[in-house]
Amino acid sequence: MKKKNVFIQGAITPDFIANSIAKHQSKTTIGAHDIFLGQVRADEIDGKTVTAIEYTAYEEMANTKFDEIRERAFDKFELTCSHIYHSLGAVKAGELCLFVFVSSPRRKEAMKALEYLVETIKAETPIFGKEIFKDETHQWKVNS
Amino acid sequence: MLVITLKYFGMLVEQTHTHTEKIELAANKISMNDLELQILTKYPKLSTLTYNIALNQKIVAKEALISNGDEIAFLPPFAGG
Repeated sequence: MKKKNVFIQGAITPDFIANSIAKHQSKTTIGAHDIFLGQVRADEIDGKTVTAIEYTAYEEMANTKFDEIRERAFDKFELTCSHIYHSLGAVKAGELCLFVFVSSPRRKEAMKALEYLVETIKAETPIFGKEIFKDETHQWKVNS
Repeated sequence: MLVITLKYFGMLVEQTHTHTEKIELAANKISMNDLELQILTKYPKLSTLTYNIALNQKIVAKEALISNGDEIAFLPPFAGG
């Protein structure tokens, strides 16, 4: 499998997602797509509201890890294709920061693969998030 | 002598004030544990933070041995997605 670059500078746009879906209409062995979209939440922490998350990553390791995770998903599930995109830099509350897209002949395989991919991405990829508050202070996000 | 590259990410950079640095070590072989002690001497406040250490992009145990040219990354908790 060729090495892909998962990272996109800034938010992932709804247009980008729509185009990705359109590109798969020529692949007629696909019977089901499943899509996960991660959106930045305006969390309120100690009375302060998160306005954006600024993402950084150990990019070389993360891209290798994403390849490895995708390969594991292909081994475990019957997939036609899978795509992962993650933001770098600032993503405002309400904007999208993660796009995971799996396609399979059958819906159950797509749905199981998607959950596996999202959970593994959160646990294993070296991506870091700085939650920026309205007053320009910050705290570091940690996945639970 | 060993020449290695160190990388720091996320909240760790607030203590090291650098993302990356090259360092020279007099030894020919050093364990991750010994390297970590040296780094903590240089940046004492890192000891208050949680992190894993990756050797050439793989998370390793403290017993791992470091060779010339290796890249060692200090990784705080992940927050992707």
